[in-house]
Amino acid sequence: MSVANIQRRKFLKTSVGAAAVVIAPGMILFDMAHGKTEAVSGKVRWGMLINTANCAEDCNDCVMACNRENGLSGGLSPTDSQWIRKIELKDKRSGRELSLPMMCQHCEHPPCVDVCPTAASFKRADGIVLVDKHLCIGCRYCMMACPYKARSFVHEPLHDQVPDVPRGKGTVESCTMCVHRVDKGQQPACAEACPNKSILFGNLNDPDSDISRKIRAVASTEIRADLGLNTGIRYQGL
Amino acid sequence: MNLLRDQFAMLRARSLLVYLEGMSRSSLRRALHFDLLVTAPFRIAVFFVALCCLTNIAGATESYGMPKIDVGKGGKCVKDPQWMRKNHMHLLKHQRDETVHKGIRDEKLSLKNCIECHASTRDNSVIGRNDSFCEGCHRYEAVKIDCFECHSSKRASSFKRASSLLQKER
Repeated sequence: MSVANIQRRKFLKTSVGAAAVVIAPGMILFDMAHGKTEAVSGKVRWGMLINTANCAEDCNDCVMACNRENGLSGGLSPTDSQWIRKIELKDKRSGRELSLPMMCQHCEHPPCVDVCPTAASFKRADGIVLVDKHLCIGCRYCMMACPYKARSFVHEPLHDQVPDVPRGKGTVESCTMCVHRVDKGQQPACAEACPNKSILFGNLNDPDSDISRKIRAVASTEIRADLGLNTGIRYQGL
Repeated sequence: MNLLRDQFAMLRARSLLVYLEGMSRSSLRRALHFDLLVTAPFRIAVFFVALCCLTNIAGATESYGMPKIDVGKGGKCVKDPQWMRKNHMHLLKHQRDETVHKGIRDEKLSLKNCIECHASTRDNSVIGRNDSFCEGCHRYEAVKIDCFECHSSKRASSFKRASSLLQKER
């Protein structure tokens, strides 16, 4: 082999190496920008603490934000989907009035999952209760089983759904705790929209998270705690 | 059979001879002229057309009779087009279960990401027309797509642009 040939080979080797050094970081960045590739784990349990003392009676911002985020019509007829609704409570004896948002409580032991005949209703490892609409046959057993009246059935064909939130006729749906936002590391739309910061979203399994600290510090209750469902949504000042 | 064919050939040759003998010298020249100027190019043209047809049949798997599809921005992302034509549904179905149940949102195989590149640049959609990226082929193959009864068929980035425009108007 001639000297020139060896030099040529050396040159090729170094140039290929240099090219790899230049291109590789870009490729690594490109791969990292390709979405979340690991599965959600049971180490996390997403939950919310809702402070009813701060929740204003005439405020509807969480409901509006939910409708906007998930592409709901916002109608109030019996056949319109409502993922979150404002509820007014009044103690008849004392006359004390309360206003609070009500939605899927994301139970640890969800009755909707127990009754689903096709396993469409399921609980994700991180505690979010969802409907897999690919499997849902629209039997509505889950709607009857839910003590919180949290689920809605889609009666009419839909158009112009939001790309992140597929919805369709013949399936049951409910609050997803904005799972598409949570997977991106964001908060649910209602928590973000609340002007009084009454909705605190966080990881119930992490003892150092804001929500865990608050739950340790103040009295909070589950709605229908007697059912033993261990809900992910807790209310303060009920 | 061979005998019969020979006899036919002899008959044809003889009739041609008789025909030529009957012609005058000038008309014979004219006939030869006609053959060289008109029928010979015609025969060559016919030969070339036949050749083209044959090569076309050979390459028919790629182009012959396939619907013309508006591929949007297009480009190869996952695998080559022929592989994707056969197997895209398996990828989508696998990815859908991973995403819904485990929260794995690998953008490369997500339906949203497919639409992002392949929606038409004219109406930001993969359905609705005979040349739409999804519906074009599915109409041709007579396979119903259920995806877009629930999923948005529109390019997600076009939504963002539209909503930001709306907010500006407000």
